Amino acid sequence: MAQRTGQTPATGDRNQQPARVSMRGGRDLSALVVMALLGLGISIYLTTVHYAHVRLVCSAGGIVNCTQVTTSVYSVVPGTKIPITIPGMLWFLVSGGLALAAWRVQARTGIASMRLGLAHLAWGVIGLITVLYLVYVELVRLHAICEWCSAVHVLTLLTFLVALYRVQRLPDPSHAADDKY
Amino acid sequence: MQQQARRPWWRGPAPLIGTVVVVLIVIGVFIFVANQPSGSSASIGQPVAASIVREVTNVSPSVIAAVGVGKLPDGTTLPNPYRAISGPALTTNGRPQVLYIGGEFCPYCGADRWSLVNALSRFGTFSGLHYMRSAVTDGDIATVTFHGSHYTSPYIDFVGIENEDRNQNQLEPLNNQQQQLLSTLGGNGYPFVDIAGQYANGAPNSYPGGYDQSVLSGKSWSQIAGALSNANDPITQGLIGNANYITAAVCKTTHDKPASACKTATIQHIEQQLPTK
Repeated sequence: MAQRTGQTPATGDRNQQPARVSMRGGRDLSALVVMALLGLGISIYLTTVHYAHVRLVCSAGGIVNCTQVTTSVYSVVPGTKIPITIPGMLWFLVSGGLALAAWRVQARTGIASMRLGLAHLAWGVIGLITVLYLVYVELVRLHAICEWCSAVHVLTLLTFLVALYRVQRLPDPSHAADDKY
Repeated sequence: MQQQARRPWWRGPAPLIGTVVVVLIVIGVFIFVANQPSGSSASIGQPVAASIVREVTNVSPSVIAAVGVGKLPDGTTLPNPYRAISGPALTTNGRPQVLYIGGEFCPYCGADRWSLVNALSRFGTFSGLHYMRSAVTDGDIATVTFHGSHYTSPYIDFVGIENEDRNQNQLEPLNNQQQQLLSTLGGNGYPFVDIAGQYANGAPNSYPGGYDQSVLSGKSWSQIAGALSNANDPITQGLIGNANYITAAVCKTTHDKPASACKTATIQHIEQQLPTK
């Protein structure tokens, strides 16, 4: 019976080698890299605006009010003057790095790395929890939403979903001995 | 013949769909909470949430600068609430003393307290602030009370006296000097704010609470604190505008210390506008 994913069968002979990388697996990694680049770009823009003290290109009235959100007390890492866009930049940087590392491993060995997949998923969980906190701040504390921030939040959620989807399609954990990366 | 193995649940669509559903539910809960009516009287006397203290005491310098002297809801400039006085020098251990006398029932005091907490936090740190509302028959405005609070600063001393409680019963007594100041300089009206014997509130054409307290009507503590990140919000224009006037007056008495509070273009500009004796 053919596997859905074209990768290592979920069950079966333990001596069976993991399958080669599918085209779909490559698309997943491409999507993760593209989302990391987009998130990185937005984070760099928001960080630049923060330090340059210039106005954001966005709405500034009613429920959608970028300026209110990005100048609020919640716009910096608690107890510091570091804008939270810097941890955001690092998050997307690491996310893109994990995707590129997985891509390189696959290109070199033809085997998808479960460890990198799980690391990306765990990184996605951290991002998702942070995003939920920031959405709480926007909706409950500030009663204002920032478009740029929302774009970053959506990218984080999509990154988590794609990372989860990838892990679902990776070889069964019982084949972990095959995964040297 | 090899039997087809069942796919484990976690490889199916459930985790993906479940994640999206959970995220949507959580956001729905946030929206529900955000649209709850303003805070009730049940919170009165409870410690102010750390998040609210943080929002009030850590307003962005860009917001403070954008507000400047603030505006009234009709768009006109907020009148300076402070006048120069020739009262007895108020000091504590050589530090200028800021004296506040008010009542928990009083809506003007409620409005002024928000500004005082913001302004004086630029010189020191408040602790033990508790939720309060002005009397139900007097605006029912969400605010904080200085009763039971503490303030520490290396630059100034703050004496906050809530002379009467929310029901206008005696709460904290005044000493003879304070009673004298309230009657001679404050006209026996609440709130009375004396800044080191050099400035007092109640300047001509000013609002008793420093700004139009009606901007706080119907707002919860959370909504008031949350508004302070928006320089264009009428709450911020009043509350921070008044706080900037207070800051400038205090800076005059501390000889512009600390620089972080006093040496900004906004405060320096307001200092030049303060009346002289």
